[in-house]
Amino acid sequence: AQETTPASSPATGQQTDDGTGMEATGSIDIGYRWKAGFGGNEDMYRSIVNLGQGPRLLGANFSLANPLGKGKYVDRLQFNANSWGGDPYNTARLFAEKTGVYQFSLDYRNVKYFNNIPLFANPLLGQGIYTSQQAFDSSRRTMDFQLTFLPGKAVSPYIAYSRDSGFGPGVTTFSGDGNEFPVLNQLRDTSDYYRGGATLNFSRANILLEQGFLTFKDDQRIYQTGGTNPGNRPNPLLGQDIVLNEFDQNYHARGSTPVTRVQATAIPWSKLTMTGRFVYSRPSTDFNYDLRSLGNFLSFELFRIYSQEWDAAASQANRPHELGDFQIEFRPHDRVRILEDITTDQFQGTGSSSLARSLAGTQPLSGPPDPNNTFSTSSADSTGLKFGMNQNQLEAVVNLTSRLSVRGGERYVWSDSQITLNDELNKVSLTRNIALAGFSYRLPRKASLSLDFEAGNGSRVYTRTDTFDYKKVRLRGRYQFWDSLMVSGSFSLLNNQNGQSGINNDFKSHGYSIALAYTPKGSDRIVANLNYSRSDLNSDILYIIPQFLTSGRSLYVADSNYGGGEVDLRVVRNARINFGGALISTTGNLPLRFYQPHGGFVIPLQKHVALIADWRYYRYKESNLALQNFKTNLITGGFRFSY
Amino acid sequence: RSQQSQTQAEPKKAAPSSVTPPAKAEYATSSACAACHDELFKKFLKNPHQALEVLANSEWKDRACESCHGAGQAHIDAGDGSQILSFTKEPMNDTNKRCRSCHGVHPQLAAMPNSMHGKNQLACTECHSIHDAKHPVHLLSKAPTELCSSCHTEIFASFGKPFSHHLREKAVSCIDCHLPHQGFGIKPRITSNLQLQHAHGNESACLKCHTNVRGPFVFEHFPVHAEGCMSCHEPHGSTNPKMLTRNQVQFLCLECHSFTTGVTTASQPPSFHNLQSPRFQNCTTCHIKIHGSNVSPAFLR
Repeated sequence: AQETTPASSPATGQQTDDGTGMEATGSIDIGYRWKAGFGGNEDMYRSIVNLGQGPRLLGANFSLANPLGKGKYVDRLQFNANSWGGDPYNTARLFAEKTGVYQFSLDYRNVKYFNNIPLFANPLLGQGIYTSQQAFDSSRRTMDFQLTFLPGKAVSPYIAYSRDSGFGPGVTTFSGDGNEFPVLNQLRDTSDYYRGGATLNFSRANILLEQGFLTFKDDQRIYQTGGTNPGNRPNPLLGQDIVLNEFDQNYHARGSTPVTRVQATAIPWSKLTMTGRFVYSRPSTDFNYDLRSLGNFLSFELFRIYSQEWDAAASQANRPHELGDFQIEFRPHDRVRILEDITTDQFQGTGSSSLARSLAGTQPLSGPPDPNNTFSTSSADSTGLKFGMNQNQLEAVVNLTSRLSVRGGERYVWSDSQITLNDELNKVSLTRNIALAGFSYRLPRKASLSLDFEAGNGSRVYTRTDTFDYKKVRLRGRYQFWDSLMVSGSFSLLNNQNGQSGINNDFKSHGYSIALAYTPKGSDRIVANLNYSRSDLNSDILYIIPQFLTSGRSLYVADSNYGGGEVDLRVVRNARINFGGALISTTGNLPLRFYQPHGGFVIPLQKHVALIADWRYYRYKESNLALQNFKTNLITGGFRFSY
Repeated sequence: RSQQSQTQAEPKKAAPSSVTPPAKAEYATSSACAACHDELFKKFLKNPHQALEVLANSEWKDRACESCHGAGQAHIDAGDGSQILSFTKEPMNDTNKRCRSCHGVHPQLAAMPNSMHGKNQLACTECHSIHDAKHPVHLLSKAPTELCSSCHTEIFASFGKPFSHHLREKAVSCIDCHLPHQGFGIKPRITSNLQLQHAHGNESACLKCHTNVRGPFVFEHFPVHAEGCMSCHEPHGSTNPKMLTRNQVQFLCLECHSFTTGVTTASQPPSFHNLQSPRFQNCTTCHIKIHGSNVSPAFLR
């Protein structure tokens, strides 16, 4: 054989070194959304959908790519943004790369959370008050940035920063003896996470060393500025109207943690791949709290009423946390893989808190007035929480043929926990054995069928609702009938039983789904997807009814049917229409229906401009609770500019 | 077609199954491939694998196509589409072996065989499209959510429930919480391997956004650590407010907080409230710091 004569690629012949080969593509959708035909509960609508009316930047995509890999500053750049201009889910992402020089990514999100479910946490519903006492209208903003230098080179350093913040008003409850008062709530928390490190790349190994530092603060103010708040108790208690006139509670938490991460992957031998990791953090929190209230209150402890209260608390908590894992893939034969996975996850928390409480205007509930009408007390608590979970999982995968593989193995879990409150110690250990099995059959691009099976049993549980003696099965398959039509389906089952005395937890869930995808190759005239899913969940567990101290059964049933589909159709002159939607119908403890049909079109007006329109209908209906229903149309019209 | 080639390889020699480059004489160079597969080649030059083709120190400079498909001269000579490694017909093991020959030590990919995807023999090309990626980052054949939902249809259906993470509105995507390759993710606690990401190195994926419930707290709610967020919440979607696993808060709490001392860890003394009164049917009306508190052992403030 003769030596190949290198030839220039077709593209090479056109290349220029000045970056002029950069190709830009993108589109931007702008429009206006109308909300029409609204009916029902606005708070419920905002808690679930929360899309409003007004001008919107519906979406924007922009990409630059240099086909020659010779961009001056960037070879590839992608930017996309969604839902700006008043919508509750604003996102923006940027990725840029210069091959072998740097990689940069930036992700920004601003998500609004509104939650005011009339029946949730609302003891006053019977009085015609439709505001939850656990409501909020907050925002959460997250930002992640990472810059990697010399990606893929022997030493690749990087720096990264993440910020997460939440803020906004809400309603929460201040609880006193004998009454609870809905009060205003102002939330603000911020977390900043700085990281830096380097990846060491070798031909058969990769080592990552990272040091991070996280700071966080959480400030909360709960307050009421005047007026008389009768709280949730409609009638006097022990002859007293327990009311709140003024209230101011401030909560300040400050914390930080270093985070050290070391991880490595290696292929020391062609038949062996090893990965390992160790992460250590030591989060700690310093906390201050003060409270001032005026009103008419009751103290069960003193059996007195009082009119003023001042509280001050200081506390400190830390929770060192170590995580380590090690995985091996050993390939003794072309058809056999041995997978070993060892994990340990340990943390040890300690905390201490001191609370000083002062009451004024105290008087006995009965009898003559007491001239000593002040009362002060202080208390201190110390806590500890240790938790460790370890597991060893060993599995073998055997390729019986090039298409069929079977596997089996075992996972063994052993865990210890220890809870301390002052001098009271509660210590529990448990072990679990879990059998693992499965098979997979794959006919490339034609069909696949896979089964995963787990059966577990253990010595005890940490919580009553935890899995104990369980079986879990998941079967998933798909078949490509012809190039354009694929059918897929899945079945899942989780059956848990815990007959231990005092628990008697019986939990079953089934899930089924079937989906059809019609995507003709070589033609974009029609694309269609249809799917149907059903899930049945039944939980049956005994509990003690507190007021009667008798045994009751907590039965929870949720049977859910989901139908959804999308059809996208090219009509004339590249104009496209689309329609589809989703329907959820649930029966059981909370029967409801949630319809979300939609339709729209894109009509090209000229080469770079298209008319776009979208209609969506939301109908939420709880069968037994007319109060929590809503319906609305959302109609959006606008233009798409592309280049 | 062979006339367009500038090589003189041995005729009709099949492409080797090993990823090791065969003798240089069997190569045809990318220009020869592009003579027929022009569109594919142009697209290829826009994706990160172009580094193989263009970087001066690349072992595969000017013959990047053959780094994956094997030496191509025999294929050109045959002229009938044969004699080349086509991943559409390859068993998963061979496809993945090709990819892992370069990406095998990548920290997120090395543990792929230990993931559920790896155990179920998913080929890399079932999610990644090397020539014609619709989603350019990581060369995904579709946008991440669309890609995941094409198999996990029942999970995607959960996001249609009224109380859900806003996946359909693009506020989040599957890979915000999950690691498709497993890599250095959260290992299964008790059941299943959910291939969850870690937040801040070693914390639950949920705390990536919900940082206000991270703690540490003086008074921790034990199940948050022992069982995780999913002991009370359905993370994909639920018909219950706050994505809870029960539609009435009282049952969610009472199922654990019952008289079972000695059987479990978390069986704290149960409530003695009158649950027939609406005041006590939503426990979190008063126990507002249910994820953990720094003042109140009962999570009241």
